[in-house]
Amino acid sequence: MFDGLFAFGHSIASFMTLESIFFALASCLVGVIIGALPGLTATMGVALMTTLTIKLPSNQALLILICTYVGAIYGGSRSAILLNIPGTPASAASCLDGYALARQGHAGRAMGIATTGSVMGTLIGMFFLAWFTPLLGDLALKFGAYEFFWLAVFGVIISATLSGGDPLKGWISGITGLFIATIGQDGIHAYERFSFDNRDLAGGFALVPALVGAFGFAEVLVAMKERRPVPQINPFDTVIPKVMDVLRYWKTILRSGVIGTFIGIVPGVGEDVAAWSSYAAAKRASKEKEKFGKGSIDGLMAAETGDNACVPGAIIPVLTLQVPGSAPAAVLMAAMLIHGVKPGPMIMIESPQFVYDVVAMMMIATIGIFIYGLVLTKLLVQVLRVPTTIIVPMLFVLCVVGTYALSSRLFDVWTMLLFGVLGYVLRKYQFPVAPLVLGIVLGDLMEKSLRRGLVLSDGDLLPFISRPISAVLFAAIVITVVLRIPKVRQWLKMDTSS
Amino acid sequence: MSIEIEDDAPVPPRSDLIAAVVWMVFGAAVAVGAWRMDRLEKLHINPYEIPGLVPFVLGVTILLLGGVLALRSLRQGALTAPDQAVTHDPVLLRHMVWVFGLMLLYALVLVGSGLPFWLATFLFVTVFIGILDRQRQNELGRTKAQQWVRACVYAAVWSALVSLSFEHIFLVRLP
Repeated sequence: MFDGLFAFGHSIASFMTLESIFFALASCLVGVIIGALPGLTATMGVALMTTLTIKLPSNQALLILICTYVGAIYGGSRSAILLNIPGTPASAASCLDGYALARQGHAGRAMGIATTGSVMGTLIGMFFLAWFTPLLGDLALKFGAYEFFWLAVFGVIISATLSGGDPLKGWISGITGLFIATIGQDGIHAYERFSFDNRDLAGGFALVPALVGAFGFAEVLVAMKERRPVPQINPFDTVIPKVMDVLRYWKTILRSGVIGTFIGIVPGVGEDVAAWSSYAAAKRASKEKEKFGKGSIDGLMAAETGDNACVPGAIIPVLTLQVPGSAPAAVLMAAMLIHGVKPGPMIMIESPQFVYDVVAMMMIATIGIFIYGLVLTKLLVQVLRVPTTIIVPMLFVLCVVGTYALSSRLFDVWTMLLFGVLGYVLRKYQFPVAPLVLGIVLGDLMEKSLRRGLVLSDGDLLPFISRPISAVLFAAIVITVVLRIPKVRQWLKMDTSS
Repeated sequence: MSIEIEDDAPVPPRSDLIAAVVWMVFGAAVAVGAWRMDRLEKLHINPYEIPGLVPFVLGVTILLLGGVLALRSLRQGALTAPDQAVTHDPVLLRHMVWVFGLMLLYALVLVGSGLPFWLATFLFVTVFIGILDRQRQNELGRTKAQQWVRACVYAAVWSALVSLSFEHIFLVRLP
């Protein structure tokens, strides 16, 4: 207990330099702006910042990425409240009551509630991050090849199922991602697969350019297609959060914080599901259900607390299992690997201080969003007025130069373009892109675990389903898939439209 | 992982059928490619370690899932329902051709062609804003000269900012 507190104190102290504070504030600001701009997501922000911070020391680079991540998830609430357009998918639930409050002349109060919810959510998630990571780390030590294989498959399947669209298309997307991860030299015998004698392709597609393409280039293309008019924003009242809101809605904050964190821990789910789940739970528990969707403070508080609590939650499986809890966490994991940090079951043994460094980064990011929540509203309103035709070429330049910066080769830029076009076409035909990306991230783990498991069992498939953790994961995958079959849903009298 | 914002209009069954055929062909190609892959018998490796194993399984899975998508679209009337061909807005199409064209020109031709990065970026941003922001600028009553001057100013500032920050703060060698 006290060891953890001392380690946390040491981590906080290590970031108390002018340089780190500057980086933290600047990256929170970048995150909030990216999050507030409709069409640009936290994943894009973290991916772009990964390319920019490649030469910085690892702790400073990761501080920047975590501040960008937290800032972007928070920033999404601004456009949700002011424009009724979620800045990021995570803020979609905040539109319902946030915009209703704004229309009633309480936009400032709504933004204050969003700030309160986001800060409290991140703090609750941060508490669980510090508490759960060592516990889950201990459990992860019991994971072998069989368990990691199912965990990787589970991440892709659950991400595809919960990505909001057609699960079948999500599964196709996810499996394709797993295949893309196999391109290049295989991890065991260095045999070149599907590289067509191309030297660059023999190394496979680098993860970060693929992510920048799928979430950066593709998103700017979608933003250009939508051609959103410059918004008209009504004047608003004070944005200062009220202590009374915390006291009055403490149950909602606590419940949403716990829900958000635990949804974050589930591999591949993410902030949007956390926000909707927290919102639904708050509605069920509320005595004023009729106010939900019409300007309920309870509803807005739940959505904002849930999505921000999910951020630290999504980092827990990254640190302990090397499996991301959300799309931005996948990019963060890639950045950790680039910077020589090796997350996974051994982290609490090899570098326990790093876990507390991440908790400290989360704390600094929380302070950052609180400050910007108080002072940044007018600047954000101006940013929201900048047309996409001016922002898009600037972002595209960052996509190009950022991917080139990773290893100074044009092949990474071509990879970014390829995945950008692929992401755009997939979106157009309503194939979700997030499972594809998660597939690319988890492909290596899935393949190595499957092949190792088969070698260990000499081709016997029984250990894949007979060990306790494997059996649970396997059952969860089967249930997830079977419950999406329309006939089964009809038989169980479940809603077939969802 | 994330509930993504997609086009609101549902994809017609015929488009799903076309997509399904593409996936089935892709899945079959992957499976055949993996099947033909060297099994490294000379190295006497464990048969469960052959490099083509996982791609083969994934290729077959994509093929099967593509088949399910095809069957579903056929049941939804992909062949019998009247053709719901998506009508393309010619203005939007032209707009997107410009967007794609300029971005590809910048990333594939200008960058890495020997042109200094700052100049390539300046040209790209100027032309992009000059052409694609024209409609908004016209609505604001700005003359063509004013529009291009504004585009040049934005481009010069951004080009300088990115070039200097990457070279001197992020210590990156620019293309």
